Amino acid sequence: MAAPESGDGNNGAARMVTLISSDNTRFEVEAAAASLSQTLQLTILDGGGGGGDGIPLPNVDSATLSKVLEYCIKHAPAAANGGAPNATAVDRAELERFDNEFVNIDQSVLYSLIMAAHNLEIEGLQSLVAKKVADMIKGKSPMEIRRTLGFPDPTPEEQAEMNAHMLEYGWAYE
Amino acid sequence: MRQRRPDLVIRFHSGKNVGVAEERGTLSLTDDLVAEIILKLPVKSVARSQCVAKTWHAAISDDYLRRRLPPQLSVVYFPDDPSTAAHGNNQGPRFASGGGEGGLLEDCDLSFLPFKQDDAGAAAAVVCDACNGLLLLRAAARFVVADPVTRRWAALPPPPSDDAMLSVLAFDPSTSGARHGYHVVNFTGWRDRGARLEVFSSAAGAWARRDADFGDVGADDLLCGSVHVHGGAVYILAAGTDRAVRMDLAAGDDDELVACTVVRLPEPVDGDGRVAHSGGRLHYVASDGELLKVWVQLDDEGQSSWRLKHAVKIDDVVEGACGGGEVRFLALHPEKDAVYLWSPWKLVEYDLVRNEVTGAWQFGGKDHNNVQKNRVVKTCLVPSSFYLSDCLADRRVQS
Repeated sequence: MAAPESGDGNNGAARMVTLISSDNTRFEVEAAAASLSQTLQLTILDGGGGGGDGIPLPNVDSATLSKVLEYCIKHAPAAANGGAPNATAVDRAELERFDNEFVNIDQSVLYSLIMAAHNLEIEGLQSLVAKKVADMIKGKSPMEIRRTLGFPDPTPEEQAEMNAHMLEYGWAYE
Repeated sequence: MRQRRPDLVIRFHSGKNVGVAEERGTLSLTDDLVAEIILKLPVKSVARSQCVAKTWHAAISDDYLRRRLPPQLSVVYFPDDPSTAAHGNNQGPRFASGGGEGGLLEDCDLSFLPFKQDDAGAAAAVVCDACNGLLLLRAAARFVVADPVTRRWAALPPPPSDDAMLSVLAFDPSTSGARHGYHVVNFTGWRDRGARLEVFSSAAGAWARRDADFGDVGADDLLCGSVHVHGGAVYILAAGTDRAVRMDLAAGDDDELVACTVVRLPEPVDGDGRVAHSGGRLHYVASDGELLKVWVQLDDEGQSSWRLKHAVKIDDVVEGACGGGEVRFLALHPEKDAVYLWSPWKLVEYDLVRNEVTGAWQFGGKDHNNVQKNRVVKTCLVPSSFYLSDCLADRRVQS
């Protein structure tokens, strides 16, 4: 059997791929980690991103991409195990601790992450950031939710709708 | 050697709303993203989110999203704890929901109901039954069906007679369709193998005297505590036999005789046996104190049979359960393989596939010092969408 070329091996050193952010920073990362992205997975399976090539990601800047990859590297081993079944309680607790700290970040970084997780289709990360936003807005009034998410002030029409809603759904505002 | 592919660029689909205006920290989201966030909110916040923005309203109106919202836990309980009893009014059953954070069961204040208060401030009404988020209450001869969360209620016209021995509320928001009709069944007289009934249908807005013939099941054997409702039918188990009676109220609303069928169960019923539905299939759940067994009814070319789907040691579900505490089956999850069990003083969600506890609810919160010792006797998992829709629109009380 011929020896695998250019780090494409199934044994020995893990295969690496290169991702290029919108501001042209190159990130070299294990294929298994990058493959948490459904968007990238097929390309990587197809042999893309290896060697001197890189996969350009024109919608993700380097700050966001490094954050995304931090998540992927941490979660890749568990994902390779097929998720929860084989994981010990300790492993799961450690991932949970990591996740909690991971989203404890500035709002603008969080928002960039939401878009990146969505575009790269990283299921676990999408769910994690959606949960974080949900935690930020739960219990808040519609007006506070708008402010939290940075929406512009409501038009008089929108304000009237909010007032009417509050009357109709009184139970939801306690 | 693979060829270089310099043109290989991952292009994202760019919906018109995608994009982050970073300067102002503004987040504008695609419908998908809005949906993902909404699915992780408690039901009150989901309701509030309807008027955050037009796109949010549209997302919440979407049927697909509504079906994915997690069901809400609702329970009927006896306020045995001194602090709860003092806070509430009498020792009759009360109603609580588990929609809050941190595994908290929250009592629903029923003072919005149109009942006279007695001197002690107690509502002169008793909870007769609860079914999928709705309550059936009775004060003197008057029946009221109420939603304790949204505070909508409907007063029923007086029933033909005043001697109901058992009153059952039959309501199933998962299958009743947009109209969300319900039935109230008063059992007014028993025969050897049948009963006289008075049935109120919300669609007709009136009571009708009807009759039920239980086939080879004796009325004396029926276990009133085992009533189960699914899709317009009421199931009641017969003690000591391997039978249940299925009374189909929705079929032939105008017939005097309620369509009854006898359902054969996989084993004879003792006091603990219950039927329930999950994934649209009838299940039978029973425990002998050590093992909790969950059977599913299969339908092979018109012949139904039972298959034992899960058998779990109760000790594994509730640690130290054999230390004298009761463990009682309350409900099945409507879709996934999970059971809800009662063990003093908490309600536990147990995943039958992963074999682990996946949730726990208590009165007074997770802090052991604050746990209130109230006894949960009935649990339903109510579709969230039910609270966002217009059930009981006849009358609404605004706070």
